[in-house]
Amino acid sequence: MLKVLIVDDSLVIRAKMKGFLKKLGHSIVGEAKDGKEAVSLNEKLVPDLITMDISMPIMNGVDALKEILKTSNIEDTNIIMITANGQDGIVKDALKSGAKGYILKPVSECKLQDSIGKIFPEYHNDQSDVLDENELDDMLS
Amino acid sequence: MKQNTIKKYQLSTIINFVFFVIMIFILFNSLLWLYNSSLKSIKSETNNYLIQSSKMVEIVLTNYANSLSTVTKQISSEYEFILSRIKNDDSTEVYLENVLNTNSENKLDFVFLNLFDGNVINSSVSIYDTQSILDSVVKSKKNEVVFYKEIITEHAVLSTIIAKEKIVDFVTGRHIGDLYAGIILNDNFSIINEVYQLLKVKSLAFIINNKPIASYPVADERIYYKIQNIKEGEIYIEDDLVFRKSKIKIKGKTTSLGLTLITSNSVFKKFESDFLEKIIFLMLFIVMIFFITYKFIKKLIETPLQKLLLFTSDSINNKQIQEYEEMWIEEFNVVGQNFELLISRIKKMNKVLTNLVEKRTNELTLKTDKVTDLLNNAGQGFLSIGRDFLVNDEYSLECELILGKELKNVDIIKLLFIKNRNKIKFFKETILDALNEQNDLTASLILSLLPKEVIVNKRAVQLEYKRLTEEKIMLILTNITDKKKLESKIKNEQLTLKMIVVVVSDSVQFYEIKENYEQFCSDSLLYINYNNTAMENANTLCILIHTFKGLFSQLYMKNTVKKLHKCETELLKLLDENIDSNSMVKQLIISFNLMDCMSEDLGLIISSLGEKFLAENTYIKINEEFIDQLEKKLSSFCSIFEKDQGECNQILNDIRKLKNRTLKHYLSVYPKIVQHLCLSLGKSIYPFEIIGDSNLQVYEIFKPFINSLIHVFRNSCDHGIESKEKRVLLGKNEVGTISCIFKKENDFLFIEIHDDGSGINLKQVKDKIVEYKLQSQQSVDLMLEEEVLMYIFDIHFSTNDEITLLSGRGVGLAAVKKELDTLKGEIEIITQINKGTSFIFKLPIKRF
Repeated sequence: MLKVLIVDDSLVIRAKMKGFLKKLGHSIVGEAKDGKEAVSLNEKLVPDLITMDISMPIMNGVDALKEILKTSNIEDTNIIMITANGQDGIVKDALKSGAKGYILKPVSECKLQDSIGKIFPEYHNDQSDVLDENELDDMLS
Repeated sequence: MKQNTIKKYQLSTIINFVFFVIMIFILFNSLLWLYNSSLKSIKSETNNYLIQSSKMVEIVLTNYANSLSTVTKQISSEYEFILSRIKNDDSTEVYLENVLNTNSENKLDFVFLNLFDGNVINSSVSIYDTQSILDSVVKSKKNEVVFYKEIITEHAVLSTIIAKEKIVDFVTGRHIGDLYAGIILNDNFSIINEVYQLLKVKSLAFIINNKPIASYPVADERIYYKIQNIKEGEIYIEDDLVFRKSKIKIKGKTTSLGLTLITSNSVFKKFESDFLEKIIFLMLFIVMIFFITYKFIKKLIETPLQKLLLFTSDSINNKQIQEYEEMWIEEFNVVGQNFELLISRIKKMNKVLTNLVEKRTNELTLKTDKVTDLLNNAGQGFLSIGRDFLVNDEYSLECELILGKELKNVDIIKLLFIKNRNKIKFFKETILDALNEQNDLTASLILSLLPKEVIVNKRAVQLEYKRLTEEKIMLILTNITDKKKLESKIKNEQLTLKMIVVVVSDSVQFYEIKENYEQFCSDSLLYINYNNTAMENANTLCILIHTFKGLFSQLYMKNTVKKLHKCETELLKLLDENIDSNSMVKQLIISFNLMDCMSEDLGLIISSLGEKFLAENTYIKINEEFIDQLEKKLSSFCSIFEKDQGECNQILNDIRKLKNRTLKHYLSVYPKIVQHLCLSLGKSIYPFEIIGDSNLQVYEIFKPFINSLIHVFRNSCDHGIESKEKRVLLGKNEVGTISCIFKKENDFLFIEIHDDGSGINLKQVKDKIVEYKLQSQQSVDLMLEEEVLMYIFDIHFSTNDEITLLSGRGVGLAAVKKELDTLKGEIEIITQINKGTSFIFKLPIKRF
């Protein structure tokens, strides 16, 4: 079970992420509305994983990432960026700065699981229940 | 006297004779003594010398034999060591060569000097120029000089140098042993002895005056002339030289060996001077007698000397030396055999290694072939690129099939992206970033940002990227054209289905729009009014086409929308170019064949609903003139029957209603459209009704204006109502509200369209005004709020940066304004940031 900090300015997306992460068996230790809040919460909570939206008011995701990595060890700080279409350049900047993954909006349980699995191989579940059997039957037929 | 004389004579003769006899006797005795003493000294000196020399020979031979056996042992141990390495190491061949070459690289080595028929034979280094060796030994700092001595004699500078060098295996760093090498520039055996005693040397070189004593021709020229005559095994002695010739076998070949020994100069010199002193002393004494006895004495000395020679030859030719010789020859044979064995084993080993390399090369070729086969038949293209973005030689056949040409050294960027400069820049940067990235995960994530699907060679190609090394990236190409075609086909069919459902469920609206559009098409050229400028005409057409585009998009008639969008784009282009030719506008409209725009979608509708559907128009067209006539008839009829005036008026009203439809009827299409629109934008609003007098009638002339109101509603959906997330954040109800109210007051009709969305951002509007150079910054700053808001009705004005099929070009609100102006209406906008916007239209109705 990972301790996760969710950073997103949208209440709806935060709620969505919360749902997905809980379903995947992780615990949410905190939520931040913007980058500045994220930086201070990270220091306080020391989460295993941070999901970070890129476009946010006050301080955007990439700046927050850089700020966090200034004080923390890159190896132990796992940040997944949540991005919208057409932000490839910014994503690259974030990855080069030390982000461990990125998810293209809309966020889905499947994408989230894949990204987490890349960072924490022990959470890479091959028998994921993202597709139920009916769906599988439909796909095969 | 005579007798006396004779006597005297006789006496003198006798005396002479006696004297002579005495003298002879004395001379004889003295010579005998001299001879004996000199003979004794020569004998002892020669004996001494010979004993010494035979010892020397013995020592030299022993040392030589020892050194040979050491060399053999060393070589064999080295060989064993190499052999053990060969078993583990594949590069032994190279290593062996290196080890064998090591000795020749060392400047200092064993130096054996012996003469075999005039050739110098030694184990490793040939010595012809001893001066250079001397230089290298003394100067080389690598070598430690352990002994150096210099003696200056009458004849030469005698010097002895012995140097020591540590020999280390350059591969393993193992200390193999020490090598001593020396040069003795002297014939002084005492020094040689001293050296022998000082060092247990492995070998020594004997050199006189820069020439090896055993070299041929021999340093001392005297030997050279006599050496031919000396028999095998005989010893030749002359002054300070002793030479002996013997035969030995080297590798089974009989070779003659010369050994030269040079005695100490001083011994002979001393002997010579002693002898001469005595001779001169006696010669002064017996000069006369010497003449007589000279030959005799000479004879007497010569014979014993010959005997001496015989004696020395006997003493030297003893058994001990012969034994050494035999041992020596045996050693040589053993060493020779060992060398031959070594050579044959090295040859064998070389063969084994060559076989091994051949076998491995074959295996490798086989494996490479298999992999190539596999990749060529995988159904996917594999290729790799480096930092120069050129395709490497090794790529699978499928790549050529997908990309349609040979790829060797082709720039991948030119292949995949033809023009888009931004894309190329991003691709290049990203590839280089991925190559430079240390972390594998980050590198793969960076690569995942690259385009995954491209259209190349008329095929849809899926791209996967993988970093192979820090210099190479692999691209996996998959042809997904069929998949893409299927996907787009399914999407098209879905849209078609949607269109048909809308058309069927909303057939009234569909017929109306269709008819209106058909009307517009047939009248399209009439819109080009030659009294107006081309720009004005184009503008009118543009607004009309935009309106129809919006209407058709509500019906999901995508093909029609697409064609109209194209037409609109062309018209806007004309507007941008500021053309002033009505014929050009006309030509453009004709070339577009507006009627045809709808045909594709109509064809789809017919194919699924049948031709009858289009013909089943629920409306009955009544000519307006006919209604007018009817109205006139009825009113004249009513005036005749005054009794039933009330009833008559009722019918008259009903007939008038036929002509003028109620406003509510016109507006009633909007709630549904707005609902559709918001859904397609992912927003939600409460369903709403048009509020107002349901009997209020409006004239036909209002119709274009009411139709144009679609733009106001669309504006509310698109720009007014925010996304659900944003609304939640702002503390608003997640579901938005749009309402439409109309009422009649005095002689004016008021229509209010309200939304509770984001409101109009005045600052943004002002910025746009400046950006489009409609007003200067200063005048904008001074403008009233209402004035600023009026600019949103300006054509092309849009605060939205993205142009979608629905809105964004700013044409919409301009169309509303245009229709409003024809009705001489007014507009009022009430807006508040994050609270909402109200458009209030005020129209005079009395005049019509």
